[in-house]
Order: sequence, then structure tokens, then C-alpha cells
Amino acid sequence: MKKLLLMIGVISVLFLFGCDTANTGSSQAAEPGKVKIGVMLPLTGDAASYGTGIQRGIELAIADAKLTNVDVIFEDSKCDGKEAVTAINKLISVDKVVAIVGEVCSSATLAAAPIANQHSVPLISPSSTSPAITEAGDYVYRTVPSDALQGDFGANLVYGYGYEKLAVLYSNEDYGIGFLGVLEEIFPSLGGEIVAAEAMERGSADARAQLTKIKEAEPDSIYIISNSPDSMVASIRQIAELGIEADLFGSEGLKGPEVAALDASEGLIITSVSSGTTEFQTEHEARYGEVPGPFAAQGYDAFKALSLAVKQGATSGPQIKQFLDSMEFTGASGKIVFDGSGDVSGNYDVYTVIDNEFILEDE
Amino acid sequence: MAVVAQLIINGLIAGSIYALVAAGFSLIFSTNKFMHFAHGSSVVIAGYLLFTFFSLWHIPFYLSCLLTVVLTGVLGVVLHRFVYLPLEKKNASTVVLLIASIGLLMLFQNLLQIIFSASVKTIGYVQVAQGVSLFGASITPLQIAIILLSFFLLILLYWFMKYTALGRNMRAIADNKELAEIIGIDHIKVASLSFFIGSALAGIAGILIGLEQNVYPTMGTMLIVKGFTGAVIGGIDFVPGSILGSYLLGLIENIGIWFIPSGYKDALSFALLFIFLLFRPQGLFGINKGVRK
Repeated sequence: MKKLLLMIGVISVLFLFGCDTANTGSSQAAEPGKVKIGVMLPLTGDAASYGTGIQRGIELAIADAKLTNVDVIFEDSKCDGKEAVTAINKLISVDKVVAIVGEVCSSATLAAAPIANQHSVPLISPSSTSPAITEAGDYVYRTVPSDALQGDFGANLVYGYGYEKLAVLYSNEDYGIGFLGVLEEIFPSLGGEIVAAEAMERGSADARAQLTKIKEAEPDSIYIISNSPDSMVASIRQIAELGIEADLFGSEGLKGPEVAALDASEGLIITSVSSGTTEFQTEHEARYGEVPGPFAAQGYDAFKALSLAVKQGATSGPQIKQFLDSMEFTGASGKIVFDGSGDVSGNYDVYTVIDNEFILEDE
Repeated sequence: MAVVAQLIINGLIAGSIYALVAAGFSLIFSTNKFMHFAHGSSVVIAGYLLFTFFSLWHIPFYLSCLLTVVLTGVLGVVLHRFVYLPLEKKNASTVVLLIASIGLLMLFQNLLQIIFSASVKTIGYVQVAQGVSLFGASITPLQIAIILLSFFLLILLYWFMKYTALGRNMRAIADNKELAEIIGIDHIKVASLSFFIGSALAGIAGILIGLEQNVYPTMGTMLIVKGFTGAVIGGIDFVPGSILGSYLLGLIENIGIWFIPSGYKDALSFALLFIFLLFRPQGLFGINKGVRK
């Protein structure tokens, strides 16, 4: 009896470990005869703060587009590969959407990509930056530049400040691994050395063991690559507690209020994609009373790209794709032109945390 | 040498955190014989209660802690009386109770997100600063307090289970529920009390973990997974055993990844879980009743 109980317990634990929460995808009933656009974002779970921020950007785009023949269906895909596959299957097979905005996390976007390609439904991610997405298929687009660009920019930034021994603490998923790959290629080519690269599980709040290894490697700088607020707040705190004397750099995932609020973040330098034009920021603040969250502008642009295609008469996936491939517009995050593999180019801003605020650095 | 000391201290800190979760979980398991996975939510809810009382309402810190512990204990009793007991009365199997507990875990996780949003909340009672040096390793005063308190709970719970009347009743029920009822022990009352004490322990855990790791809605799952693993290693129905098992888990995880890539940290703990289930399912210190053939 006890053995059985234990086994059941173990199965449950594995189940819990694999999926944090049950599928709580919400959908709005869509009327027939309309074009349906799906949105899949992490609205619950540890990436929900990104998902809800991007959702606001999308809602602004919906309001601005003033389309009467479009229904938008939101699904919660939890920044998780399995959940993203469930969500995209539901959106395509049950709701019959013709295009989708999503997912936030690279792992989830990569998991959903084959299904989008198979059904010829364009999938535009507002925030998945893994270099692997460039190759994810004809129907996969994004309004955020690839980490192949950010990693290059970041490596040059760190080296430009005069650091030569870089340690990397990265999130153990497509996003972190992809970004690390670029750093490992570029930083040594500049003349620096990557002295340690340690992985951290998404959502884990204990990086002490990894940081002890990093401390032993005696780096002069540490690059944190994460988009899990729980993990980055914990790791920045533990760097201070362990007394590691290295200066901190971070990927754009760190640009959140939680990180800035931490006293230990003082001096942290992050590279970030555009947080939106002044007009977008003003509109966002007027509607929500807050500055836009990370990737809200990219979320706005992802939806805007689809709405422009629909406005020009596209009603099916392949038609929308045709418009996407040739379109050029100025969105909330800047100029959007998709290249042959659905990527956009982009510039990065550099922010430094001073007195609990991200201060934009003038180049 | 400093590295060895730091690795051991890292292991003790992680182990203490797992132990704080495992202690209450194991106490509730030993009298009720089902897995109360929503115990993870009790810990997180305690963290949010402290955040509300102390950071939002500015109630003095120690009073906030007291309120948190009592309310978390009451929450445990409420869950027992209104969720588990009605199910038990309908002769629900332990599997049903377990599914109910996972349901509660998810329910609370999402409720917390609706109420407090998904972002990380910092309680801010303890300032983040470099720790003091101990054998060349760095440790903060809060972490020392966490380790000492876990040790203290280990001794206190051992004493409680062995020498108090309630502890004896709990052990009697753990050992043989029918026999315990025959000699007049009210098992529902004892079960409720075990939920109160176990959940109050989750309250203490939530306060310390909240101060150490901040609070966010999804942390309960992570904590209960590690707490459960620690409990299995030590012996799930023997409370001091689960505490020791949690320490062992923390130490093995933290020392182990010095030798293997850090991405395998969780794989290491689950490998350990399976080794124990295969070769020593009663755990290191668990009671082997000798009925398994």
C-alpha cells in the first residue's frame, strides 16, 4: 500500500514538474464570417508578467486598427512547449484562425512552429529571440531581432568596456542556450575569454552552486541571460551575497521592475530592444497608467502587421504571408521589414540601473 | 578550501529550505496517509501573507509573522475540514485525495497571480548585502537563522512526536488507524491538529523562504517537489527523517554540480529519488514495518 502511494506520489511530482498549471486557455466566441486572429501568450506561470505586458500592447494595436471584421482569440500557452502545441492546435483546428501572434518564449515558439508551417498559418512572435527561429520555417516571423544580433552587440559592449574575463549565467532553455552560443563565438574572437558558463533552470530561485563555480573562475564581468523574473532576482541577490566582485551585464529579459527595485542591481548594464516610440509610450501610459512592459511595443507591431494584411483584403494564411513578405511600416518599435526568413533587423539600447531605475545610455 | 566550505554551506542553506517544507508535509502525511501537495501553496500563501501584513499594511514585523503562522495553520484546518474530510467520508481513495491536493495547488497558484500579479514581490525586511565570512565561505545572517531554525525544528518535532500525548496519538494513528480508534483516539481531531501544526510549519517556512528567495506565485510547485524528494529520501512518515533527508538532498545537489554541468542539478535530485524508491522505499530513517514481501 505504502509503495503504491509512493509511486503515485512520484508520478504526481513528475507531472507537477513537467507542467506547472492546468490548461486555463480562455477563448472568446467568434462570430462566423469574420477573419479570426489568434494570440498565444503566457498569461499564467512564471513568464506571465511578459505575457500580460505584451497583451496590453496587442490590445492597443487592436484598438488602433479599428477592424470590424476581425475577431481576436487569446490562449494561455505558459511559455511552455507542450502548452504552446496544445494552444496552436486549438487555435487552428477549433477556432480556425488564419494567423497567430505568439509565443513569448523561444522554446514555445519553436515547438509551435512546425504546426504553423504545416497548416500555412503565419505565426509572429513579439519576443522570441533565439537564433534558431530564423530557420523555423516559412510561416514563422518575429518583430524582435534575433539574439544572433543581440549576442554580437552584447559581446562587443562588454569587451568595449574593457572586460576580458566573462562568466555567463544562462537560463537552461532555447533562449539562454542560443544567446550563450553567440557570446561564445563572438567574445573570444574579440580577444576576451569566457571563463565560465553555468546553466540555471527556468524559475529556480537558487543559483548559489552555479555562482560558487563562477566565483572560482574569477571573472571580471558576468552576463546574465534569463527571462524568468524569479530566477534573475534571486541570482542578482545571490551574486551580492556571495561577494562576487564582477560587474553585471544582462540580456533584455532583465529589463523589468523587479530587477530595478533590487539594490544589488545598482550598476547592472543591460542591452534591450526598443521599448517603443514616444507616441506608443504616451498612449500606453494614458490607457494603463504604466510605462510599457518588455516587448509590449513588439506585441503591438506583431498585431499591426497582421491587421495591415487583413485591411488589404487578406483572408487566409497564405494571403497574409504574401503581404507580410512585402510589407514595410513604421510601428511602435521602429521600422518593420521582414527579411527572407521572417526576421527583422534592429538596434539595441543600453540601459544602466542607477538608483533603482533603468537609465538609457546615450551612445 | 573556501570552495569546499562554500559548497557545504550552499548545500545546508538549500537543505534547510527543503527541510522546512518537508517537515510539515511529512507530519501531515504520517497521520493522514495521503500526499498533501497543496502544502506547497501553504508555504507560498504564508509568504504572501507576510508581504501583505508587513510590506503593504506596515504591521510590525514580529506581529506580522505571528499572524502569518496562525492564519496558515488555520488554512490547513480549513482545507482538511472542507476538502479532504468530505472526500474521505465518501470513501475516496488516496489517489482522489492526491488529485484534490494537486488541484488545490494549482487553484492557489492562479488565485495568487490574480490577486498579486505574476511579478516577484520583495518583502524587504532584510537588506541584501554580502554575507559574513565563515571558513572562507560567505553566508548571510538570515541564512544562518534558517539553518539554525531548521535544526531546532528537527529536535522540537522529534521531542513532540516522542514525548507528548498528541505526538503519541499521531504516531498511533500513523501506525494503525483502526487500532488507535479502538483505544479511543479521535482520529479526525488528531488529523485536524496535524493539519494545523503541519500548516503552521509551512507558515514558518513561508516567512523564511519569502525573506530569502522573495515571493512569486509559482514557487509552491518547485518547493513541494523538492520537499517531497527530501521526505522520501529521509523516510516520508518519520518527520525528523524527512528533515535529515532534505539536508542530504541539498548537500548532494550542491556538491554534485561542482563535478557535473549545472544544467543537471534537478536531474541529480530525481536520480536520487529513484535510487531510493528502488532500493530503500522506506527512506533512510523511515519505519520499515516488515509487511512488504
